[in-house]
Amino acid sequence: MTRPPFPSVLDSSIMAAAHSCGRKVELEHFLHWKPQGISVHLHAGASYASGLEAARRAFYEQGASAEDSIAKGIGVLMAHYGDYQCPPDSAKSLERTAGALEFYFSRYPLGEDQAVPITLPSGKRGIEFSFAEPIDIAHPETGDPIIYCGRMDMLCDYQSMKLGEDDKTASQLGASWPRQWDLRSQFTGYVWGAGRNGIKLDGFLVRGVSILKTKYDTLEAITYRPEWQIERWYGQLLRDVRRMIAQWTEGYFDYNLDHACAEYGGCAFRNVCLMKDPTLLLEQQFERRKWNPLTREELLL
Amino acid sequence: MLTAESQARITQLRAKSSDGSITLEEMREAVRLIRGDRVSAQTASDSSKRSRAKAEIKSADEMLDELTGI
Repeated sequence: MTRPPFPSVLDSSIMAAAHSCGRKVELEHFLHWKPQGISVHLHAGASYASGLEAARRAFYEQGASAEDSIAKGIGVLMAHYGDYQCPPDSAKSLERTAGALEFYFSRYPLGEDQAVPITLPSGKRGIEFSFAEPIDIAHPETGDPIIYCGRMDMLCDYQSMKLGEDDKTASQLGASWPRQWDLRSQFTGYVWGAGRNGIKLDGFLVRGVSILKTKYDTLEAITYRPEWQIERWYGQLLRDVRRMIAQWTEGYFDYNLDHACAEYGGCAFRNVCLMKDPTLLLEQQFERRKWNPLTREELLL
Repeated sequence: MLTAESQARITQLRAKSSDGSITLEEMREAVRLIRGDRVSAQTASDSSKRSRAKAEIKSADEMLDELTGI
């Protein structure tokens, strides 16, 4: 039996795909099929994150004024957005995404924001903190420990707490938006990763900015992670990875064939699963791009 | 909504950002344009809400007059 290589590094995106559907994680992260073109949500989100990072570094590390820091953030955001053509029906154009960054700092002004990046033992500020830690499962091909990695936007002091911070762009921020983070594995994994690096976090601060055609809005949520939740997450991670290895070994990844096929506007592979033999569809409408969780970049195969 | 002039200038600044030739002063200009757009949109939205509310609320005297007729 020929098997695709088993990933040596896992992150919350790969695990979320695995939780959603075995076939999805196989197509997306073992065979590396991705829909052609870049998603406007991912591109705008990444551009926004790059601008936030640049503004925070300018203010907290380089000592620039708040106004110049925002200007530098907008410059980096524009460079990252580049000549990407936003679909006409999307609100996440360059102008609106840059507007979201300016709006963010009008609501959370640099110098007045209660979320202040911590100073790490290395002397660096806790802006864009990354970790890559071995877990207690050996890679099925190399025998080395599998690595779990993550990157958070900020490690910050906030109202006498030590929190991770994550900035999200959204199309809408409804009443249920703050509740969705309380059990989110992404953040529990980040708290675990920070802990492995000697930084004990109380939880996470999640800040969302909605980008609509005519206005912006923002919400923030604090979600706590007691030790028992972190231990439970780690135990579940090991179970999930073992299940992934079992499916990879067998050469058959289980289908969800239920709610996951239609959630969030529908799974990208819905049409693939509607076909008995999707080979041609995959070759015509998808392309193979390999996601590198460590660099957070995709490589066209 | 950005004016056509502001939109054209943002397009120029976007190109300069992409080729790395944008200056700090031009980045500041981009912030001013974007902020101006947000603030004017917010002001227009607030005035629209205020004018709608004005038409709906009756004064206390008017409401009392209506009651005396019952």
